[in-house]
Amino acid sequence: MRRLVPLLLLLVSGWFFLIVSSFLILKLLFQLPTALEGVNLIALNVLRAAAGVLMLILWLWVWRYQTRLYFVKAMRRRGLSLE
Amino acid sequence: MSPYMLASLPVFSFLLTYFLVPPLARRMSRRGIVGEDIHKLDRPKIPEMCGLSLWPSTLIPLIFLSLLDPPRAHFYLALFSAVVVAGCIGVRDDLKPLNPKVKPALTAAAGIPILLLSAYSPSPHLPFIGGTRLTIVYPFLVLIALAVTSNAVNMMDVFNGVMPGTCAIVTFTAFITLLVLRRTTEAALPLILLGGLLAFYLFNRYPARVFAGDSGSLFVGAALGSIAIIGRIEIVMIVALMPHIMNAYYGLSSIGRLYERREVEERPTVMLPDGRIDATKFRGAPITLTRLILAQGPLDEKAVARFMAALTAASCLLAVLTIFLIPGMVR
Repeated sequence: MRRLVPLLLLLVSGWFFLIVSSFLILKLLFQLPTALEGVNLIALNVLRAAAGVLMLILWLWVWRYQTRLYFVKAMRRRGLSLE
Repeated sequence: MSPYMLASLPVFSFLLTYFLVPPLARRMSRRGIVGEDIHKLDRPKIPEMCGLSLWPSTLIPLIFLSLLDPPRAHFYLALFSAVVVAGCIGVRDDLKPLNPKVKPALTAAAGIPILLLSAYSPSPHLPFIGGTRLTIVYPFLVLIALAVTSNAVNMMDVFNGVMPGTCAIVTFTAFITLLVLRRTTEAALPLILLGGLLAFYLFNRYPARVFAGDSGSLFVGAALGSIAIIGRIEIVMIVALMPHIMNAYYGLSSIGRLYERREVEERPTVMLPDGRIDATKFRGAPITLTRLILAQGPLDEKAVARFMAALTAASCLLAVLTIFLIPGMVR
C-alpha cells in the first residue's frame, strides 16, 4: 500500500494539472479576450487553439519530469543508480 | 431502452465469450499460435489471439441493437466498424508484426467509420468551460483518439489479467458516467464490452490460460475510444484511461520514438531467480508504468497486476469526479 501512494500522487497531480489547465483556458482565453472578438475572430480562435496545444505540451512535459524524478529517486533510495 | 434489455446485453456477451474461449484456445494451441509467458520461471506456452473471442460477443449485440433501433443504427455501426478495423490490424500484427511507426497510423484509420457515419458531435465538454465547438479540429482528434486508446491498451497488456481487468474497470466507469448523464441508449455500448471483458478476465487472470494478443487489445482499445466519442464523454474517458496513457507516454518519451516491445534491447524489467520481477537500472530502457511500480523494490506478477488495477480504479474515481466539474453536463 505504501508504494502505491507516490504513484497515486503522480496520477492525481496529472489530473489536477488537467483541471487547472481547463480553468486557465477559461479565464485567459474564453473570458478575457471577448472584447477582441469583433476585431478578428479567426485570429482569436487560432490563438485559443495554439494556447490549448501549448498547455497540452506543458502538461506532458511536467508529467514526464515528475515521473523521471520519482523513478531516479526511488532507485537511488535502494542504492541503485542508472547506468 | 428497457432496463431488462440493458441488463441482458452484458449477460449475453459474458456467456458467449465464456463459451468461446476454450475451443478458441485449443485451436490456437493446435496451430502453434502460442506465446511465452515471460513472467513465469518455467515460461509456459500460452495460446495467443484468444481476444478474438471478444469479437462476436461485442459485434452480435451491436447488429441486434442497430436492427432494433434504426434511428441510432449509425452509432452502433460506427462502433462495429471501428473495432473491426482495429481488430483486423491486431490480427495482422499477431500473425506478422507490423512496423512500430505504421501501426499507430493504421489504428488511426479505425476512426474513419465514425467520421463517415457522422457518429460524433464536434463539441466536447471540458471542465469549467462546458461545451466547446471544435468543428474543424474534432475529426482529426477522432483519428488521434482511436490511435491513442488502442495502442495504449495494447501497451498495457503486459501482465496476466491486466488488459481485461483494467479495461473492465474503465468500461464500468463509462457505463456509470452515461447513466449519470441519463444517456441510457449510449450506456448499452460499454455494457456489451463489459460482459465480454469479465468473461475473458476469468481465463486471462493469473496464472493466464490464454492471451488476448493484439487482435484482442487493439479491438478493446478502439472500442473504448469509440465509446468516448460516440457517448460524448471524451474528457471522462481520458481521465479514466490515465494509467494506460501514462504507461504508453512514459515508454515513448523515455525511448524518444515509437517502438515495438520486441525491438527494445534494454528491457525495463528483469526476472529474479525467486520468480519476482524487478526494475532494471539501464538508462536506455523505457520507464514504463511497471518499471515505476517496481522502482521501490521487486514484486511478484500478481502484485504488479493488482497495483495497475488499483491505479486504474483511482483514475476512474477521478473521472467520475470530473463529470461534476463540467458545467451543464449533469442535469
